[in-house]
Amino acid sequence: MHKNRNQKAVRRISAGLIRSNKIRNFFAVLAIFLTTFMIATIFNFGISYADNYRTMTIRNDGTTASVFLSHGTDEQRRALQNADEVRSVGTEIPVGRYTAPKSNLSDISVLYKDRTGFEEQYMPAISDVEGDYPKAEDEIMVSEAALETLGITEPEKGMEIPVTFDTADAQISEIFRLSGWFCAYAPGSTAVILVSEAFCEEQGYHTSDGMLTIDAGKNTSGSDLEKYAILGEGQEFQDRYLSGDNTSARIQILSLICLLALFIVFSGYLLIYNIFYISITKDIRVYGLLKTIGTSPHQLKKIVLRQGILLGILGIIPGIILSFLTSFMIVPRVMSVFMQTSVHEFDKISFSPLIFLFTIAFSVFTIWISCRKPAKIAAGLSPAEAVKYTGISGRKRRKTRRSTGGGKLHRMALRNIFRDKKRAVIVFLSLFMGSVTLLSISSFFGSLDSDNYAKYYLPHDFSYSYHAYAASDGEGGFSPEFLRQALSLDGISDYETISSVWLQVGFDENVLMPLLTAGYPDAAQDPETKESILNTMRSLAENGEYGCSVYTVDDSFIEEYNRGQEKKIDEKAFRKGDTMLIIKIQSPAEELVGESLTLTSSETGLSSSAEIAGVISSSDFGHISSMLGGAPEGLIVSRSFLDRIGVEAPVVAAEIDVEPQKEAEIKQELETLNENFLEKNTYDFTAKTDALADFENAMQTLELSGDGISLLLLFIGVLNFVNVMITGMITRKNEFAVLESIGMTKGQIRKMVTLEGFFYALISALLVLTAGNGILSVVAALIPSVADYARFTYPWTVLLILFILIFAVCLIIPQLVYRMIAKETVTERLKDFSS
Amino acid sequence: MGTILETIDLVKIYGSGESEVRALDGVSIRIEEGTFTAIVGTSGSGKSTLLNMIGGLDRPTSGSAVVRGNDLFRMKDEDLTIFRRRNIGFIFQNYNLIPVLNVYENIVLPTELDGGQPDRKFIDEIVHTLGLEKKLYHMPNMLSGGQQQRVAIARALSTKPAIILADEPTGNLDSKTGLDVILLMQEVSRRFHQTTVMITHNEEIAQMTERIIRIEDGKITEESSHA
Repeated sequence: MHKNRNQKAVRRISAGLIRSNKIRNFFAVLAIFLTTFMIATIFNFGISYADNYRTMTIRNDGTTASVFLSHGTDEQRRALQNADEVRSVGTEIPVGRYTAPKSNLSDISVLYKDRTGFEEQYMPAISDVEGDYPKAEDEIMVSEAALETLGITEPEKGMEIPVTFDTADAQISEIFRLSGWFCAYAPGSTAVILVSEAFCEEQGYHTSDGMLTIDAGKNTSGSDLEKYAILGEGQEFQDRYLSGDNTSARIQILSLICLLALFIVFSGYLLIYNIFYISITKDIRVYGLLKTIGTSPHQLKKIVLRQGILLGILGIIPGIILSFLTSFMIVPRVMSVFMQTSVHEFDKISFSPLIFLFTIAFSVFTIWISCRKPAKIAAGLSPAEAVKYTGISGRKRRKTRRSTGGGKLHRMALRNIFRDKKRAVIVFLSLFMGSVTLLSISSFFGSLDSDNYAKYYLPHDFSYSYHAYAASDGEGGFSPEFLRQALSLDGISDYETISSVWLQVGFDENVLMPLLTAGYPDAAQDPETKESILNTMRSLAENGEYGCSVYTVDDSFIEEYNRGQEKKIDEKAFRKGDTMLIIKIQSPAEELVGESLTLTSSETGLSSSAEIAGVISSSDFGHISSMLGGAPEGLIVSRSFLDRIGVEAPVVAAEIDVEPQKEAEIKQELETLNENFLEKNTYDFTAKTDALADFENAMQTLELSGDGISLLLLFIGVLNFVNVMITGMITRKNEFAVLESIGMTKGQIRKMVTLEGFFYALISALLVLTAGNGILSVVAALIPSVADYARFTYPWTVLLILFILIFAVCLIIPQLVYRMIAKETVTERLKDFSS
Repeated sequence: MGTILETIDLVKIYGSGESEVRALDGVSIRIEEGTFTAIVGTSGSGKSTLLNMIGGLDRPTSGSAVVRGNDLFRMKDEDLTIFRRRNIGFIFQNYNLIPVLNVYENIVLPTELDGGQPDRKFIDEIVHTLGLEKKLYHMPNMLSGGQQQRVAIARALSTKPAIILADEPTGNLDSKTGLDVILLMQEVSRRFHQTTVMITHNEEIAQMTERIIRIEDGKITEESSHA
């Protein structure tokens, strides 16, 4: 009973205080609303990003399984299923292959997957699943790309599809019924036909013919699993080559998001805290009175926190709602910038309850830390103190000031600003943070300029590159006929091609040792391992399997290479085929400079040697295919070198420049040629105009979002200033009256408060120019690591606009507020003070 | 001794119709130069309103107030403020010192607002008379009520105004300190030949002045000179 009565009183007082603080309420709700909105948007983006990223990697990989074991037995399967690290073990049997009738269609893999393999490992990697996994012997489930190869545009459940495909030792020709279809994404295996268990049994396959697919999480590799299963002769755990997993980029983006969230929470805190602090100071007499008549400190705290929560509810709910509405429009667009759109359509946002929880938790946390101190002040003051409370409190109260010039308007203005130091510091911090975020974000995006991007990534109007691994024969390049037609189009001003062929590298242990030790770090430690690896390499070399991809380039390439090099290489020797370049990805390739390598063609059996004259980084070269650990990561030679060993290397990349006015026309012609000649998914074709348009579009979205967030942060800073100015001037109403009564004219007062605003702006501007520039220099240092085409440019324009804005607001607001106050006569205002 | 201040038939009406309040109802008074006058009345008698009119802080419904031959209410707001800071010094019940300025700065503020250089010798004399030498660099909130009121008196004196208007200057002080303040005001009035008008409801304090004007319901009821 007693407790209930108490709460009712607390509730009534809180409600009363809320009603009597309309300006405070407006600012508090607005501040909470803005903070919540920004936090929710950031989290929305972060969680959607994480979700989509996970989906994208899984789709890219085509399965969640990370370790494979061929010809796994049931016993091995059971053993692995019981292992702690293992999440699931599935079985996959490669049944056969359907060769596409036309080169621009994809070949189809015919596979069987068991229930675990399909449901737990494959489903997450595919989308738009219709129907079910085949059960009956004649049922099949087909991916969209495979349907295309089969010439089916409108799939229907139960429709009959005649398929003829090759197995290891036979050809199967049967009429199947479609049990379902789906969309697969993994490069090279988008075209899939899944068959039933019954079909496998009928064809005489056993699970031991297939492969165990093991989902053991990211951090477990095949060698970790060896302790669980005894492997048979020739059996080996194979780890999946993780292609698209760019963890560091993801961590960068996620930590950026967290940083931004903290920034928002902090500036939200600065504003909400200031609002409550000021309102408590204003109502301090009321709190003192409440205490006099018997309200306990605990109840007083509750009264303050209750106001915070009530206003919080009013701000948080619309904040979340608006955030979700904007997220619908913005997140998919922003997401498409960060993801490979070919693998995943990013039209969905994650509606995770986590977002709600996070947002509410962060907002409530912000409100709580903001109200905590003011609540303490209200609770801790003795009633007598409360009556005398002027706001100029604090332990370090100034007792004396040895000055005589304080009566000058500008000095008074300065002193007024720092009358409550904490309040002033919060305003400066808040304006500073908004400004710096705006400057950082705009200089960041300014540096990701499309001209820079084009110069770096799109030096040519069109570019082609060939993916040997996705081609049906696993090797080769663009067909000569295609190249002849494509490169002879009218309007092409210049072109360059790069060819590639795999050549054996003469295995000279002494020369190649740096690469071997880098490729197999264990070998450097342990002589026994070293010997066994050397033996493996030796036997590889004997079988003609030790080697690397060798690229030939046009003469202009080497000229360009020399231009960027301090130590120039002899172009003539290179052209003649006496020297070559070595490609560096991770290996210590530079240690091989000066050495000679002998390259042999498996095809012609001819060999020739050349000296390594220089190193080129893979990021400068850009055309890399798979390689053997411990071997060079790639070599670049001239055409005459290849002529010497009688090798004709297929073209794997071409760069084309055209006359500007013919660009659109040529693009169309090239697209037609692509359609007619090239196998789907085996090549990249990039038109500069398209890529630039995509880039600009993506950047615009990003920049818009970034600017939006930083403008809101700036707005919070401005709000903080406005709030401090309004409340400060209202409490100083009587002081202005006193000043007027002792002879300060309205003009002088207006000048003084305008000077206060001016100093707020000036000090904030100075902070931005000093500390802010420090932060900007950090941004400038970070920019090259974000994207290699990025060039930091100082955001002069934004800075100028920002300063104009800050000064305008700081000069205008005080005048407006004073005009509002000065309407009452001096005596009325003086009276207010006495009462 | 000439007349320094004169009010002619001052009327101030607040509100209208039913709620009309005649705060001043035809007040005409005359204050001679160099005198110390008390205006005495109960709460709501109109004495504060009268003081505000004399000080040019508020405008009357009708009538005029003339200080040193200048009709206050014919002046524009800006001019009135300037006239006020040159000719009228105020002392308030709650001292009304500017919290961000120290004692010295508070004292010279009216002079500086007028763009003038404080007369250091004169200020020293005031400070000495009021016993504020050791407090010059203190901030107002470090001073007791009596000390703050002495600073307010010094501030009012600092421009050598034609007239000082004091509104219940002892209202917030204990009787001993209040007495000290009045004695100081008396001394100042005599020493600097300073015209001073003080509002009070305290009969004892009123008796310490040279002349008492009584006001009741917005009308002058009695004038008496003594001492």
